[in-house]
Amino acid sequence: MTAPPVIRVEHVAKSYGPVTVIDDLSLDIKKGEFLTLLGPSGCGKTTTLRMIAGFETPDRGRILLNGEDVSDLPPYKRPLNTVFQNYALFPHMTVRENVAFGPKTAHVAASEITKRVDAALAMINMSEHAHKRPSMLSGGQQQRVALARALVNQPAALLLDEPLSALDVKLRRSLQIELKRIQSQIHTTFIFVTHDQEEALTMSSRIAVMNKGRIEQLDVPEVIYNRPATPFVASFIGHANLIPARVTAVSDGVASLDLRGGGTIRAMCAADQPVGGQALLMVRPEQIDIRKSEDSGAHGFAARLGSIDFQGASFRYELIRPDGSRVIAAMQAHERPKGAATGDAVLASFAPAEAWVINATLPETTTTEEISP
Amino acid sequence: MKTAKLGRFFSYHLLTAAAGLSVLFLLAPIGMMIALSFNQVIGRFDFVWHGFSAAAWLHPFAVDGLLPALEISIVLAVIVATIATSIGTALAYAQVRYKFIGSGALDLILLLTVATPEVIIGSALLDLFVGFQVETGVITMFISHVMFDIAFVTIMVKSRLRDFDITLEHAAMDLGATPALVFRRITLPLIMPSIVAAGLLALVLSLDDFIISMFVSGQVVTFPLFVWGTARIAMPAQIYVIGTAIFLTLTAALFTTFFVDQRRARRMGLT
Repeated sequence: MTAPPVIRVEHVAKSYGPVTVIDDLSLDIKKGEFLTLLGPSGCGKTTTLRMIAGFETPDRGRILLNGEDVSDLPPYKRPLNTVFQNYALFPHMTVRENVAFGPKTAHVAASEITKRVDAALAMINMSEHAHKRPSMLSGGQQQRVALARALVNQPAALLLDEPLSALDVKLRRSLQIELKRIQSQIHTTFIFVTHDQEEALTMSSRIAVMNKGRIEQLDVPEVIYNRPATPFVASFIGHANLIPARVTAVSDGVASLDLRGGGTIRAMCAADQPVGGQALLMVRPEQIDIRKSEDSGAHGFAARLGSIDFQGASFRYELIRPDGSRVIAAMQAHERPKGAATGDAVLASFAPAEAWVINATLPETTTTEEISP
Repeated sequence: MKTAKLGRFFSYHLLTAAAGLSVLFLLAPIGMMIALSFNQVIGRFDFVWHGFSAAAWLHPFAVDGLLPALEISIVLAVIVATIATSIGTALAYAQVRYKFIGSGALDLILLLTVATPEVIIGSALLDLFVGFQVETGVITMFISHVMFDIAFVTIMVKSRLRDFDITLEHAAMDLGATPALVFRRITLPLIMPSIVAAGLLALVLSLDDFIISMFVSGQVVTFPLFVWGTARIAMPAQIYVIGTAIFLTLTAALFTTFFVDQRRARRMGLT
């Protein structure tokens, strides 16, 4: 019923000497999707991409391309193309020669090459720079040429290895938009590697969050952000408050929790959330509403106000819970509680629908700060 | 304050003077050679200035045996440089791109070839040829020159390849190019300047090799051997003429490659 995946990574493992980089990784990439491999440096995301491209061979497992095992094929025999982090444009060729390199290698007819190169250059608005050498272009222009040079080959999937990380923030934003536009135009499968969680949330149709050679969670951006499966995913994507708690009851995907350090609240949970065990309550700083502690009808937990930091559009509040643990809240400037001062007793209120139970415990000694990347 | 100023004045001018003297020191023998090529020679030895004459330049090969010796030297040097540059480039590429057993030992051998005194290499080679009953001559000289040239070429090309951005090769391979095509279309054009430079060095080293050739040349007389042989009985101005011509040709070649390189580097944004 469902279309077969363009690329299937099957139980792949890879080690460099004693260091395990990829540990039994499986992944299906659907045709036409924008899949992002997201994770901190050293999590194995680039190695995964390089194995798909053919620059690394897996120690174990297989990589299938349209159902065919390509694990042992060299890069030049795989119908995939890569956009490299440092662009890797050929300095001794013009923009046009760079883009024409792939079709020429594939012995495409000269007239067809001209047509395809023209179209690729037009797509990235670089037609008037066709005769220039890469050294005469800006970083953003060079990366667009690299994109055209890859896409002109009409690959089964485009692999992008942190293609925007060498660019400044403003340029990165505009290229993100351009990349997304191009992807939606040509419907090519994109596999994008980044360590920038915002970039991943903005661009992807699905995100695979990687840590220590494994995929911790693979889902659409909204689920990754709002319903993280593990403490790592919660902390890597934005800031997450993680409060240890005991699950006292579950009904219809809503759990009742006794928070460590005091307080009883409700939050969304997975359908198979067991009752009675230890878990973590995750609530994002922007979902917390700081109210006066007399406001006893509201849902939330008690705390005292710690430091208050002005951050332009918003305020950042540190909340100290009765057991001394700290929780961060962020509120828009116009919504902030007027007259609240450090030391005041408050209620950290949030809607149960916006909080989430992670079925895991923090290791004894770790704090939220320590597991953040 | 004043002494400091004075010190700066002296250190600046002293440095300039020292630099000038060094250049003079380096150029003196070349200047001497060029001057003596225009000398009016009286007697057999062109050592003392007797007045200007272009006679030697008008009849550069008017000395018996000079032309054949020069021809042998040039033909030998061109063939040796071509072959040594090809082998040296291949060796350098293999060493930088692939890990293989003996790569470290090869480094040591290359270094030893460069560092060992030529007299030792020459006599060792002669021993070897005699031991294997190879008659010394053009072939043995060819083998010997290729041997020491390979070391220089490999070392030079290797240093350039080490700086080479390997993602360019990966990108080409990613675009469907086989390893052979990657080398031909990407690597080779980009390292060509250092190959040309290494080739020129190989040419020069072969052209003016004297010590090793002395051992392994047999009956063959190259230009340096000819000069050595002649110098004991005569020193015609023609030898300075040929020396000057070789010097000018090589200087022109060096400048040309230098400027072509500069232009290329500017266009590729490598400077």
